Amino acid sequence: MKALPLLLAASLVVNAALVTVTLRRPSSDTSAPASASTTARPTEGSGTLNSTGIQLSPELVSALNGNDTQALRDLLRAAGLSDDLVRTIVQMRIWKNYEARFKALHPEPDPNQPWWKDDRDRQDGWRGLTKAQREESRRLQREVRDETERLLGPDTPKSNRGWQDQRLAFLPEDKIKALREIQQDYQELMSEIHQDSQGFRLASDAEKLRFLQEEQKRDIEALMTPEERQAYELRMSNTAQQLRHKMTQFDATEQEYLAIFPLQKAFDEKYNPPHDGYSPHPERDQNYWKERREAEKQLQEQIRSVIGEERYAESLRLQDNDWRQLEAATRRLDLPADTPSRLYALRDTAAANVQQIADNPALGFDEKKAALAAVAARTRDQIRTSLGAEGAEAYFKNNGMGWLKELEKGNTITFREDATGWDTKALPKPPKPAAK
Amino acid sequence: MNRSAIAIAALATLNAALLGYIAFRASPTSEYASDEERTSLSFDAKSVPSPVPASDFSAAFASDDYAALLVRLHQTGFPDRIAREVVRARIREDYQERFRVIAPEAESDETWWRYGRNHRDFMLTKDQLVAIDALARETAETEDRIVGPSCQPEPDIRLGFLPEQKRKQIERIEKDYLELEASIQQQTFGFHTESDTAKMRLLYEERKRDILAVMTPEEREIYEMRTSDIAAELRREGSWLGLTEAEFRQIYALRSKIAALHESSDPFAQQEAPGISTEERAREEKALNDQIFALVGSERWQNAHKQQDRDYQILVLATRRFDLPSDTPDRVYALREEVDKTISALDANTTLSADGRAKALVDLAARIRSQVEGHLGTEAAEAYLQTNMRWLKTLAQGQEVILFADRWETVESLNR
Repeated sequence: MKALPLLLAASLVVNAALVTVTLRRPSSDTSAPASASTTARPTEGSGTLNSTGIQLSPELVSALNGNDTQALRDLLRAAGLSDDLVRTIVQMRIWKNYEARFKALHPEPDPNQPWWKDDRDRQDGWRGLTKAQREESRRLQREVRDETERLLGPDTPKSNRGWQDQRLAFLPEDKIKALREIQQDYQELMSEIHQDSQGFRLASDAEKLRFLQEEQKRDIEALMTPEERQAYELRMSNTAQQLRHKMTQFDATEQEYLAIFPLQKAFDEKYNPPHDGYSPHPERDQNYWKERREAEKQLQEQIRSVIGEERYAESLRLQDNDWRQLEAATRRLDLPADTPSRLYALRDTAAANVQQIADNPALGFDEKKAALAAVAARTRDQIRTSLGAEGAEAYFKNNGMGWLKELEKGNTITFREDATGWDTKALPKPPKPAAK
Repeated sequence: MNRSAIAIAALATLNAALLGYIAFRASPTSEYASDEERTSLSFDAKSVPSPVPASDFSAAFASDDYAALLVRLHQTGFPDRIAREVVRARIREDYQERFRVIAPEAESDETWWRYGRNHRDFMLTKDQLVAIDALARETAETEDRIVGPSCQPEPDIRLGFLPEQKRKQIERIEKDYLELEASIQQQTFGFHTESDTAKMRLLYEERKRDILAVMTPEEREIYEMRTSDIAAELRREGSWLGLTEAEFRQIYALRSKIAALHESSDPFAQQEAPGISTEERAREEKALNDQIFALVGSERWQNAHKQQDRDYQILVLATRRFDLPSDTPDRVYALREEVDKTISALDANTTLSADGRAKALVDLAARIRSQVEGHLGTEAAEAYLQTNMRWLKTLAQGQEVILFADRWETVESLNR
């Protein structure tokens, strides 16, 4: 087992050197390697092609058919092609040099393979390769990547359809680049562990992965100032990943996120610790689940108090299936924008009516049942009127206002405060007539 | 509903036109260079035309005559593959521009604390969605027509009985209908109505009809046998059972007969066709399994069951990972027989006390564990036993276990 840290240490030394180099590199030279800086680069537009002044020379055409990828890159740039197109073409030419070797490792399927049998080995992906073949494949991939980066620099967000991760916008460009390199390096090391396990994982695999995760965290932290670390945690931690989904659902403001994050983080640290995906989950007794439910309630209360009653209610509503289905129906059927809120309000009306019926001492058991069914029928009619027959049918089928079925069975319902659904209760049975 | 019918009719007409085009155009091999041809065109120095003077391509790049641009690049000496990728980039650039015209506001409003809410389902109107889908289809069709697909799918060995031209036609039809289906799904905004199901059903039927129209009656029969749902299921089982082609055909015929009697041919039906009870169905399944059993014999049947057992599958993975002898999975799996034999011997021993019996079971568990370790090594055995052969833990507590082909039970649970 002691060989493991030694083995990984070598990779990490390389990684540390890479971080240092990246940080020391002048920020003006972050998008292209030094060797590219002297080359004429007439086009800098973000479009795929720049259609003005494109000159395709015989030298360029020869280079396209030759092996000198660096000369090809320079000629393509000088010809006036955009960065994206230069990258595409140079990458294709680099790939061409490796194609035969990759194909030898991943042969085409046998055309004579029996048509009446599934090829299970092929479905297993990496599992069809021996350890030596996997290592060779990875070595070739690294070579392709290094050659690409040497000639073109790393694949920047600009060359990735313009998408930028907003969460990293607080970092300077050189640190974003260094961060990506760290992540990529560790991702490769972790991916090797997964591939080598061939679907059969050992405790030592989990230990290696844990070690890598810790080292990655340490390297990332070393890259940043204390303030940047804090901002990174706020944006990229496990809690942040989960919270971002919820914040999207109720269209949270930055202030709301900042207020909720520490509350959620405290909860997660205690009840959602990271898991290595290998070790068995610790056994939990009933007390644990009770405590967790209590903590969850408390968390909700804290969130309610920091974002205010109105926003809290709105956040619950936006997560409710009744509401989400109404929003979907409104978009789909081109209905007036107020349709969801108007129809969602039927829940309150129905809940109030149900309460009145249940509490009405003047009504007998059968009358109450009939009255509850009438509430359901009225509600369904109103939904039909607004969504149309086909829309309403689809809404009910997608379990929109599924609680109506309970009313039709003669049961009462109350909506839970945390919007996790409703509780139902049967009407008290009428007393049996006294025996004569 | 009327509007849906019109939309569907329009789609069907579009498809018919497309089919006509596919049927009457030159064979795909003549239209696109094959991989081999492209490779030799691409990087064989001998294929490079004589040097031409530097030429201004600005007009060619600015034009939307993509075919002419491709010809020009070829004439200039561009390798085929690179020429096609250059033209593909040009087509996509135009598409992006037209996309921006249709939906100029569709820029991301993502922030660091939440994802963007202007996903197309949220922000685009129905008309914009329809226009964008049409544009996407048009672009894909243009790309296919001018430069060919960006990647070649692996050939479907099930269609190996067909001539290449027909195979390509079928692949094209499948692709077109998949796009149409995706388009219908997108336009539901995640809210599916009955009319959506009707549209999907119609597309399903049209696709089937179009595909069958490509083939002769004999080819259709073979096509069904190789690609139907029954065939898919049987291919999976066939690889476990080690079926021969003749056995596959025999079992396929038996299964199809039952399916034709009792299963709905409508894949969108909410429930199976009426007319058969669960018990009847179970009886028929059993009769069918008996026939398959008689056909393949006991050894292959047992072997197929073993190979589908998770305990066995994990042993195969461990064997592969640690380069263990190839018979390791069978040897470890066969330890179950030792458990059976030992427990039978304990059953036969009437003089053994309850404590003595429990101790014998604990010893048996220790013996089995030690043999698993002997075969896999200590660390791998530990990992294996953590999630497999779970009955061993029960045995180690002195409790009797009964191992079946597909499960295990304790004596107590069986008596309950």
